[in-house]
Amino acid sequence: MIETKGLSYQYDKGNVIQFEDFSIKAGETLLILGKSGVGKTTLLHLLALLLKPKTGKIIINNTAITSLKSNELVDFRAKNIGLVFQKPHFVNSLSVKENLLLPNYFVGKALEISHLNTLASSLGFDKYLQKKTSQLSLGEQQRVAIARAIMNSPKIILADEPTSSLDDENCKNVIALLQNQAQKINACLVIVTHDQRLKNEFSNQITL
Amino acid sequence: MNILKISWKNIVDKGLTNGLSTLLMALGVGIIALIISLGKQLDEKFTKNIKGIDMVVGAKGSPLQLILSSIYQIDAPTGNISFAEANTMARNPFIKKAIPIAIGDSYLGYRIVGTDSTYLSHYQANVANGKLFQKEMECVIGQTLAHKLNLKIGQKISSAHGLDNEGEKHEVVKYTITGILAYNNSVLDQLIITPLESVWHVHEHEQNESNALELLDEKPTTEPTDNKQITAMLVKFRNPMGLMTIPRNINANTTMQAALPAIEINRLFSLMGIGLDTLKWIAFLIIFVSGLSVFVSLYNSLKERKYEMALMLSMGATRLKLFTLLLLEGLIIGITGFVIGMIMSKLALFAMSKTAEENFHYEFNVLAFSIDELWIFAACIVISMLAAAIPSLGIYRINISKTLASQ
Repeated sequence: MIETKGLSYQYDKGNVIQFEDFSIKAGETLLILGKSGVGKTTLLHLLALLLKPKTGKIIINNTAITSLKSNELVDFRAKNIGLVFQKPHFVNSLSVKENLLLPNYFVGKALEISHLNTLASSLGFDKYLQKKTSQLSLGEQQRVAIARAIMNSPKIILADEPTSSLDDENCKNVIALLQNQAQKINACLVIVTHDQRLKNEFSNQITL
Repeated sequence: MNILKISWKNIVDKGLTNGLSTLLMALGVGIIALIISLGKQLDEKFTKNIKGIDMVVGAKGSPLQLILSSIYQIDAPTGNISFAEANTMARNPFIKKAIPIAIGDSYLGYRIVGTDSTYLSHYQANVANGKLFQKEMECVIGQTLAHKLNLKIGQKISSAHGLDNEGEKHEVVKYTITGILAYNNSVLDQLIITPLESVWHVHEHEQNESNALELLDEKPTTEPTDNKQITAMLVKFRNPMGLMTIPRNINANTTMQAALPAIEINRLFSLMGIGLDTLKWIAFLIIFVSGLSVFVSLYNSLKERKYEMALMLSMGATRLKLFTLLLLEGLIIGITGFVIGMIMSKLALFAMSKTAEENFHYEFNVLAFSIDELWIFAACIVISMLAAAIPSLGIYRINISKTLASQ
């Protein structure tokens, strides 16, 4: 469960952005919709603990994570938060399989090869595990990026513009995939986007 | 999955750039290791062979040639001198030891040296198999030679005139091998050593070839006579007064020449040293450029991989881990460069050893380990770590949020 209270952020130039409070339960999806430059990515990065808020609290599973120390934040993020970005980026020198194992490795968890194989099989890229990510199509890359975000079975999945560079068909597929995987692991799913195609897809949404 | 594997994959991914850095490092290491190993082994061989020899007396000519031919057996002799005249000189009270040698013949390119037992005791030679020669036309042979030509005790060999394999063969009088010397790591290893009288006998026989069979029955003369000749006399002085007076006296008042090995070899080494030092500096420069190449490669790589780094940081990697990752990349290049460089230097030394063996019957120990190689290794580690550490510090300046948001 995520809950925010009085969250604001101050940019380097000094301007402050204030966000309205919201809360979502495990297994639910929240769409944060807004035009470019309104602070969608800033909010997502605050939730991902990549930025420190000027004021306010972020409470995840009854833990006020804004009060955690920096090394605790890194650990918390690695274990509880999965990130999906607009463009799927990877460590280019590694294979698909190795990229998927990275979150496990950094967290210090035993490498879950069987979990990885099941995930790859269910997302339809099990044939490409030994390939370099650059050899995959954009759609395939996005599926691998989603798989990477859920490898550690996080409690929260944060997706930043996951559909903006995709056509309608792939847009639907990716959203379905995200929702499906989030429900499977009972995780909160937060999607920030300016993509108006998603406006009618979610009942739980905030517009910035 | 581990950090070393990720580093290695990153290096392979940028194969061309990193390969060039590794090659530069290998070139520098290879040249330095070769120069050091070659210099050390040459110095060892030259020093060991002249140990205890203060002066060489021979025919007039080039002093360096006299020393190279008489001590190291790698050049043609300057000529012959009278054994009687050399013996007269050797009776000087300032002379502690005088070893006569007569060279001029060979067997399959290996030199036959006529001398007396002091020559063997001077080099502290031991007979490994068989026994020392007891009379003329008997000989002992060096370990390397015995091994190379597969010679056995009791075997008879006929010498050829001259120091290569092209000379006229003395087929009628043959040497009998009575012993094989233990490996001595000196010039002895490649020689056939026989009493002086054997050499004189062979050449007397040659002068009167029509009476060859008769000459074989004659009793050999062991007393030096006026017409007996030797190639050189190796001399050790009793005290420094000998060094101060005798060489000058010989050069000024006799038909012979006195050459001082220490001076001539120093001169040779200082001439060689200029070239070796220049090469050494070039090699250091190559290693420095290699370090620079690692620096530029990692600096550019970090710029290109900034997003990757931010991504890994967002997945829970610590900055220290990523710093170590980049540092390892530099280290792998340094260590790989060192290993390839050492292999290159050993291969080059092997090729040089083959050439030296063919031309002079001298070999270099390709597998010899030197403490200097550890220093080269340490230098590679320090240079590659420094070159990698400076750009790798950039990891600590990455703003994860800004970097991820910038794409």
